[in-house]
Amino acid sequence: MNKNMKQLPFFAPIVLRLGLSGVFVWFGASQILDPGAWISYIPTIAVHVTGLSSLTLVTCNGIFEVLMALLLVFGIWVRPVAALLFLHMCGIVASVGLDSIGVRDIAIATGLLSVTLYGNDIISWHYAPPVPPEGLLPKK
Amino acid sequence: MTTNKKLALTLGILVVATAGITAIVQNGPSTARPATTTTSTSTAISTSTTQGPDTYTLAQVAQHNNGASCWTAINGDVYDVTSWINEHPGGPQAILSLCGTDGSAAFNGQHGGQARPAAELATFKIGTLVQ
Repeated sequence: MNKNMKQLPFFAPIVLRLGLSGVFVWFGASQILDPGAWISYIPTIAVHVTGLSSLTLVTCNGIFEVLMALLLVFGIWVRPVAALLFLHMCGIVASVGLDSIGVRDIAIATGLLSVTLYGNDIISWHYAPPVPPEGLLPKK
Repeated sequence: MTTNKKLALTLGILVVATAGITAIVQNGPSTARPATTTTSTSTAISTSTTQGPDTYTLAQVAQHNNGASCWTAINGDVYDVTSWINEHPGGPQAILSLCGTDGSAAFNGQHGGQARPAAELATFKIGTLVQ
């Protein structure tokens, strides 16, 4: 395997992090720009508990997702931000259920879990090289 | 600033700009759905070609079976959901599959018993279904 091929694995977590960030920027911005199109996804209990209107909840959710995406895309606090978004996605999956949208959300949540586990990649703002678990390393 | 931080900034701005512009283009004011669909262009054109403005047969609904003019019958009412195709949170394909058909089973299966989808659907009503 040549040198370039050996370097490819370093880009895997970057591609995953940036891709997920783009997803959250798009969904967050869409909710801010047109909250009326998203109100059907707000559970009734959320309206009752918060006392806020569905439109306000959608807008707040959109702002949250954009802010988290901005932190994730620039590689700032990668692990806690990805963990927070992972929990956020778990909540959405629980709310939406296991239909076609819910299954896709599980895929996004799984990607976020992967980013959470990996943490800062090589072009994150605060890069720290990962330490592989010794038990899984091949014996020399 | 180190090389990796410059790269982080560049790629980050690229991703945010791409996703943000896409969201703005798709959800911006120019594509906003009108408050009442009965005044939308597609409805106005469609109803003018039918004899009864408030009652439609399934055959008439079936003529509006594409993304340019998408009608569906749900639970005895007829809806023009053309403008909703690209705004449906679950993706356009879910709506396109209902164009020109009786979508009762699909709607009830996905959103049955949910107040908000029903309220959203009601804004697209253009008439009732007759035999």
